Amino acid sequence: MVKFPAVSLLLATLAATAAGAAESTVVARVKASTPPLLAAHCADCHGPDDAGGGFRIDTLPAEIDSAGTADRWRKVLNVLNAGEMPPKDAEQLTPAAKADLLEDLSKAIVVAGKALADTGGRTTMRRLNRREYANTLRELLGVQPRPDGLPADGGSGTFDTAGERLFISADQIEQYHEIAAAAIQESWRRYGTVHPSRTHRVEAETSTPGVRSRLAKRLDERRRFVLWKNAVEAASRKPENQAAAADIRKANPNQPEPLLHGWKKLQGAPSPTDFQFNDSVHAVEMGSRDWNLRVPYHTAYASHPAIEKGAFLGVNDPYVNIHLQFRVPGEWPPGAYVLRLRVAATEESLPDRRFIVCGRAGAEDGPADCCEVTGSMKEPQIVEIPVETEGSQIFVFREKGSYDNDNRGHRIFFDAFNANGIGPPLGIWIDWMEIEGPLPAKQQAPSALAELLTVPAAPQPTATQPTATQPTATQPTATKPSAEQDIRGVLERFATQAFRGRRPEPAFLNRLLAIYERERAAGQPFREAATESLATMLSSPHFLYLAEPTESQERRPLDGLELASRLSYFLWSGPPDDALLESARSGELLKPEGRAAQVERMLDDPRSREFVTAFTHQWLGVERLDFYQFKDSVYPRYDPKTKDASRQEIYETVAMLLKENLSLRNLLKSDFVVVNSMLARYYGLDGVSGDAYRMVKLPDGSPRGGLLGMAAVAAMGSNGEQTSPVERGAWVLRKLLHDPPPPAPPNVPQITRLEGQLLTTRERLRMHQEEPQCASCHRTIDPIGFGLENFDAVGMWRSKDSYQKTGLGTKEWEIDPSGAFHNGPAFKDFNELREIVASRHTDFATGFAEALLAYALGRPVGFSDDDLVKTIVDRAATKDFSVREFIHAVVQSPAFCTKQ
Amino acid sequence: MPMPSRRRVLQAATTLLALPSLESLGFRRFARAAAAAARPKRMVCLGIGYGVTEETWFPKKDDVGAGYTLTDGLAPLARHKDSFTVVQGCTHAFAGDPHGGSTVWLTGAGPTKSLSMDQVVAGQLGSDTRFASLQLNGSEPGLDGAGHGPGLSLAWDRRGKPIAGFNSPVIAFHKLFSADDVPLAQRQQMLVKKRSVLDAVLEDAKSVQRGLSAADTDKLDEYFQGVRDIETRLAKEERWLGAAKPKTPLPQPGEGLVGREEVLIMYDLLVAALQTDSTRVVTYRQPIQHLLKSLGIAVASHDMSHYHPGDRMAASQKRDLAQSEMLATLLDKLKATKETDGSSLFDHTTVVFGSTIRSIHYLDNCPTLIAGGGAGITLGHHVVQPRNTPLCNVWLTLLKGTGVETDAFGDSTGTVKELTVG
Repeated sequence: MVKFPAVSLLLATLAATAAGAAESTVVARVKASTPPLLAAHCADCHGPDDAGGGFRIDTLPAEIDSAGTADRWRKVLNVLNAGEMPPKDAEQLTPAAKADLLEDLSKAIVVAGKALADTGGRTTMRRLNRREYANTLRELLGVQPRPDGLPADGGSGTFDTAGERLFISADQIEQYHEIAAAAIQESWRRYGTVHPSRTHRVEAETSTPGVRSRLAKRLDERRRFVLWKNAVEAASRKPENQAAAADIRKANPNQPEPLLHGWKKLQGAPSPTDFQFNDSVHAVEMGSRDWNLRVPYHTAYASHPAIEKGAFLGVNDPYVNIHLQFRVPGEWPPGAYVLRLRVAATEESLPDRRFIVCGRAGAEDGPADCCEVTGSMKEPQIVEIPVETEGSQIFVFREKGSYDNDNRGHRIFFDAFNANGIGPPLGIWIDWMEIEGPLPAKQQAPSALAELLTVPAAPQPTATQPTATQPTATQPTATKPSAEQDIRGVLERFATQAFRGRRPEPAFLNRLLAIYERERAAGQPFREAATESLATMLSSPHFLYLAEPTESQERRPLDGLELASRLSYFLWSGPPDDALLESARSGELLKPEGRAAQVERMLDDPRSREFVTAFTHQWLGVERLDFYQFKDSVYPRYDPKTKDASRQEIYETVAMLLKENLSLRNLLKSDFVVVNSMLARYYGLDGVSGDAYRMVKLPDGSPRGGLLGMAAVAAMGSNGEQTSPVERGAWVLRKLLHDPPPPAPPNVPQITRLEGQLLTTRERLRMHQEEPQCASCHRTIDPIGFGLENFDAVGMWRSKDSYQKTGLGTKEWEIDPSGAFHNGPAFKDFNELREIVASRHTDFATGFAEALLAYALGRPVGFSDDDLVKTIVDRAATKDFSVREFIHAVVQSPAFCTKQ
Repeated sequence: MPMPSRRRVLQAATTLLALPSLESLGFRRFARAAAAAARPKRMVCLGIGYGVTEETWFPKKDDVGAGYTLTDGLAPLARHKDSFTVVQGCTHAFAGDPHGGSTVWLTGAGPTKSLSMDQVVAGQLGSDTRFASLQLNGSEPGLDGAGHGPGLSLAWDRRGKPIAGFNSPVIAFHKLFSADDVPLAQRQQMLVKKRSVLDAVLEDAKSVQRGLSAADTDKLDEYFQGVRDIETRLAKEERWLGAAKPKTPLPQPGEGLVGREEVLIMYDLLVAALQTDSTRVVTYRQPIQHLLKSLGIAVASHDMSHYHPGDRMAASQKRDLAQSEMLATLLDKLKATKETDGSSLFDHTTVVFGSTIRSIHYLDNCPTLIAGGGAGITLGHHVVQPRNTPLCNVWLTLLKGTGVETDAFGDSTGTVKELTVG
């Protein structure tokens, strides 16, 4: 294993303080050589004799143990970075010395900041973040509000579980109340009545007559237009019209068909109305727009035998053939449905686009499902897509990557048209589309609502449907009071579920009851009156916050219910279920083996997906993937669905490691990838079919396998057009090597010397090495990024790169991935770089453990956690860093089981 | 009780520019008490996040006073040259995030977190209007990651917590102008209901509070403060029960406006909000990436902020021009909106435009442009302060000019004399 020499930082580890005391164990200190260096250059003006600017360098302590001292050091760093000091006419530091000094100061200040912010393990009570709130409502009410409609979590740069950063305001309290009330209403609609399942099917060929008649209409318009145009042009050639024709052309040099618009000035020219057009504008639009170029394509479509029994997903053209739509008319109750399609791919269809995308009309940029089409025209297949919907809907289908935006649709058509004179192949065929639901299996009301649902809905003027028949266990009987009679008991039981097992205080219950009663008195039916009380519970602090009271400022072990909540919000981002609460109440959860058993059970539960996605997304900074639009003219294969799939690959890989309990080291290097057919095609791997992600063994010598070989990781280190070695290098240091570079400093002078030159990426970034302010960080960052240059901006392997600049031309060069870590080992290519990174798995594991802890505890990890982090890493190391071992270690740690 | 007449007056108001509401309102006040005729002051703060193109936005440092030459970046504001002043040389000493142009822009927050300038003003001017202040945000997702920095709007409350804003013109429009077609009695019922909900959650909050550690108590205080704020708002709502929301001088904005379109409609909305006296304090954290996109600029916003001659600098300059041109439109509107005494909304409004980021990663010489007569500052000048003068000195000058009695704000060391002469 390669371990680099420790960099300039000296950490003074103080004697361990008493267990649990809230003091950091680390203080930041600048290098021993720094104060004398500063004294030599600065003390003349900033010393005892002459405190220039009121600033003395000689009294600045080397140990940064207070915010005040940190501020003074930051001033030194800032004036050095800004090039303000030493003054131009004074003796300057050598570039190398200056770079070292800046690196030392910036790192020491980062360490000081971390040490000063160290909470000593103290956690802050936190509210549910928006994901957790949505999931918790889902578990309680069986409906899920969209997280992006919920109050914002505010703040970036930390996990969304960090209590300190989760604020609440008046607006938010009101929003919670409104969202909860709306969700409860939806629950009533969804579960309050039995909805018989229905099926609605549409044969796709019903679209065929429309396409044919629109095409015929357009052809007729074209025919009339040509007749009119010829007549006008013939008129313009007459001697008496020649001067007028020249005038018209001269007056409208940029207008298409100027003669046609000026027809009135030409003697004897016929009116467009003679040809059944409203006016010249109408005639020109219908006769000469670019749909005319699509006639061969539409003709090929209209004469294809397969459209007698179905339809193709063709090029979108509002004039003739629009996206295939599936209208679901009428009233459909909210619920879970399945959308079914009988589909086939033709032999001409392109492998990259042999997928069908299903979205909703009006939300075409929104979430859409994408399925591989494996059926052939001889043997079509049936695709099933689960959907949650309500009311009437229009679903829209298209071929993947064919029409993500107008430009792309236009380009795909004309690229093919220019090559074959027709247009793209007719690739995906649909026989029929149907929707079925609401699915009976998904109509089981959540347990929290069961009791409330025993009270029938108030009769609605138009209601003819039967009311819910609930399981007999909750059916009111003669011996048991009805829910309406026992409303207090009902509210109490609901609150106990909502408060994650904690019973509400009687005084609170009284208030809820008063709300209910006033609503009833005002004439509201049972459910409406109850809604108000329930929504109040769902915006009250016991619901919104994970409260862990400590009577004194002492740390104390969590009780069972608190532990259950910590665990479920860690591994599910949602509330504890009955089994977990039961384990909490029986005391089983307080025992290490009971806890371990729950962790295993919870990780096997599908709800753990929420943890995998949310944690991984934030830990690895995947949000960067959405910062830029990928230029589809340059990277047509990396269309939005491929981008989604590549993002999913990161989550799916972590999920696989968790499921199979494999080593975390696989994220640095592995001989497999976790992909579906779409990504397998993207990576050029054969033999993978279907939309499910699975482990696929890699051929020898593949650059894939591990995060560094993933398309999404490469793409995150680009701006959508070009790679960014700086972003990539910084990401590797931050996320893989546990050695984050200091934050970008303000006020560093910009270098513009090399403007207007055509340079390679390396040549451009070489400037970073010339200025000490830049070199202090970039000498560490950039070489790693250069080693990743074989991956282009969308993760495809390349050996050449080029740069184009208007006015200067294009430069192409062979990529040189070789380099060396700053003060570290050299590598000659990506493989060697990856080996070095992979050898530092302990550093990677440390970063992972810190991230897990921060996410699980909802607080930043400080130096006072060093021992804890080491314990976790050491324990995982004994099991070859298997992923579940980390989670067990976190959950068994005193920090996780203690409130402090 | 002035409300019924006010309502009639406001309901009668339909057109944008010739809106009589202020005039009539002022007239009635004048009729009752001459002393009350002074026009209310207003403040509008516009945060642009990633700063400006230094080379082409700032006037030359030695070209000061009234006769200075406008730069290319400010050229679209030429017709208003006498109506705004550019201030150079000021800095927030505690700003440290070179990608966060808005987080501390209005607070100058240092080691101790502080209230933002707009909220200080709202404390003074907000009691007579339906909304004490209005916070607007660009609708682009991840706005804080794109040049503004952490925060939920430009505004921060007295405990240094971010104040949420409205993220789309449609939401803001509904808050401001959507009619309450619910009968009065029912709305009174509604208030009673809301109060009983507050009583209930407070009851629960008290039981959570028992036995909390100091840090957790502090956290729960946010909730208590939230409830108190709702109570204050309900009390205000109660006072305004008799008054219908003003008739909108604008059509409802369309959904999905982005970039330039969105900024312009937000400007219309904020003028309408001031015009109808719905509020007297508005902040607006503007879109950046979406603005570029709507201008047909393909460069990403962060790349643009690190401009150097070429595409990126061109993008940065194009952005400046668009911002100046939109600001000029806003000033047109403020000037065209007349008050009783023949003065305009512009004469009583302070418009502050700028960012903590100058350009690129520079956090000194924050771009600062002030327009309008709300704070009585010297207009039409180019003022250059000594390097690293606290930007809070400018804010203090504006606060005092707006009638806030204070001698300090943030890290201010005094007022800016050049802004208060002439």
